[in-house]
Amino acid sequence: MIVLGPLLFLLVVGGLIALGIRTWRQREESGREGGLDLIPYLLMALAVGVAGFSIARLARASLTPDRIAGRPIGELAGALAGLVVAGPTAYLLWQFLAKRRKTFLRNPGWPIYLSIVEVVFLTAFFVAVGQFADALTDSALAPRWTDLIVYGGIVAFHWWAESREPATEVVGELPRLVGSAVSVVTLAAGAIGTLSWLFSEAYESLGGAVTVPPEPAIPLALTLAAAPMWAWRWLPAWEEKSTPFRSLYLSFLTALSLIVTTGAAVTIVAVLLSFLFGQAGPTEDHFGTYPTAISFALVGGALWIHHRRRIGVARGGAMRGYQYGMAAAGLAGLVGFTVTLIDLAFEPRLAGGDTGEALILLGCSVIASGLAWFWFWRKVEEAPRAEEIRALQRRMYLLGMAVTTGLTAAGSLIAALVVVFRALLGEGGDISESLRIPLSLTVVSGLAAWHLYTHVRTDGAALRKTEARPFTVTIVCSHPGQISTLFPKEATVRVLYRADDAGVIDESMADAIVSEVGGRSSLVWVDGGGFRVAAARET
Amino acid sequence: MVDDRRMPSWLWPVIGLIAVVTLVLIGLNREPAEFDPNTPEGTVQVYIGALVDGDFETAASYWADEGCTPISNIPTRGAPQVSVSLVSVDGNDVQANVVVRITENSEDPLGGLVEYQEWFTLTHQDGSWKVRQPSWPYYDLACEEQT
Repeated sequence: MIVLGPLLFLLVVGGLIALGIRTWRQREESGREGGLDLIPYLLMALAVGVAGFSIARLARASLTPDRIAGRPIGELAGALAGLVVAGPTAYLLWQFLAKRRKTFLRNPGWPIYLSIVEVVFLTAFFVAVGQFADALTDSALAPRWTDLIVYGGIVAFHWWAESREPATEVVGELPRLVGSAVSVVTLAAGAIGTLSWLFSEAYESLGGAVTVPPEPAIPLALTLAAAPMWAWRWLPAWEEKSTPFRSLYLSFLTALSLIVTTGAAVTIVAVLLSFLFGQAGPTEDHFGTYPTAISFALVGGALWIHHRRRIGVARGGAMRGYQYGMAAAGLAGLVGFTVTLIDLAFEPRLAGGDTGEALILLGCSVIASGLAWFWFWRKVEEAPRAEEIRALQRRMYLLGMAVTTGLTAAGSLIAALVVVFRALLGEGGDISESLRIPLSLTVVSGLAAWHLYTHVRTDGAALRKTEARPFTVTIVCSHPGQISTLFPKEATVRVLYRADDAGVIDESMADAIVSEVGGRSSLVWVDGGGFRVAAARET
Repeated sequence: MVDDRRMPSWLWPVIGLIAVVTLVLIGLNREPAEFDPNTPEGTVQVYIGALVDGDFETAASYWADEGCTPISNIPTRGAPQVSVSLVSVDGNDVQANVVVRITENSEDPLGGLVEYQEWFTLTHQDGSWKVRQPSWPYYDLACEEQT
């Protein structure tokens, strides 16, 4: 009876899925236009997920020697119920969609499906690695080796399937990026844990007082498992032309690793300064944060160096995302840490509680955030203006941060006014204590919002000036490709066809031409050696 | 390029089916692991085994005589029908914590399975490990007043 409920439920769901496939097939027969196929791929991801976890549960219940009492009837029944419905559903959907992939080669559903499976089962695999390592170092526990085989097998099978039918188009890089992201996060966590243990042991052996983390089996195992996975997914060559997904991945990871490194470096410097200025307790206790901070700095620094090199020097989407991301993080840190520093500096202390160490840490954080913001904001301001003000990353930074800081300033001003009006309406007393945070937050956030708003206005005016002017581009080539669709709507594109085949415009050349024309009336000459652009006289 | 030497498409489901049936048969016929009864995990194994078998007298003999103790040897809901696996063991020579994962079949046919973790605190008394203040499976406890 125990299996009846889940079985009925799964049968109903399976029936609905089968009905969906049938309807989809009829639709395909009526119009063979392809489409996204997103729903069938999502259903297949769901079915593969249920089937995969059911197999893992079945194998665990049957093969892992960790049972201490009773028979695993419930687990077996639950796993079987899941498999009975999800297994055939996954198989049929796989066959059906494999046929469709042969007809519609550029279907984005396939890479989206591969990405979902990769993020779910690669994460499950790393969790299983951690549990396995934990069990190996604990004599009482039985290693759950079956999870490793099932989850690892599912990931490996999908890598094999991907290698047979590589996904194309922009979204085709998504599975590799997802695998790289899951692996690099696991690798970083494992490496930080391992180094932290190592440095704590070393610090303790030198006479320092520190809480040494438990045995490094789990972080070490995660490092050893994630390193080859990351190398496999990230290090092989990518297509030369970057996609928006890869730019986003690179910019986010580079910015995040620099934030981690900076945070760790600030801690190291602040602890040293507080020691030098005599704000410390016993020497052996004072540097207790160093093992962890140094681990974060080393791992974050290594990740930053690698990903920063991958971005290169060209001012593409990844570079902009990284610089504007860092400017945003710097500005947010500057506002937050400044307000906290003001609050702590003016906080009346009744007794004890020397805040010198915290003040030094906050002071260092304010300086580091301010430097980061100043450095990256100066970098983006040095970039060519006409191209920069059109960049999505800049608009997101300016508008997003202006709205956030503006709303923060408005909210804190309301809080400050409540205090003021309460005092004016007779609820007297010293209001300086209650006003300290709202007032400082209003001023600091307001200044940031004003700075951002002025740039939003300047950019808007410059954009209107350049966009409002129509221009004409005359292109001499043998095959123009899709170049006319890449120009803004103000452009009038005229193509003069060459008689020979020496002037073909491919996708990358089209981007380069549009970029070089830059909204001015131009004459473009394309031949076997590339292209040349000359400004045309305005008529 | 598609490989011509592909296996027939029906072979994968058949292999899968055989694997599943084999796993189920292994799971049904496999006995629980055997832990040393003189260890915390072994004590918990014997204790839970006695409860599952309905041998409440034997289970009660594993209770420590300190802190809160059950007012009756019989749990409030009778013998639990569960399967239990080990999650973690830690402690020292005097006290230990054993965490187990309990899978309980719901009596409601649509209810499926209920899985939860239970913590057993054990104390070393008179040369053997005893379960301190048993909270599973649903005993009413009486506590000595502190003076």
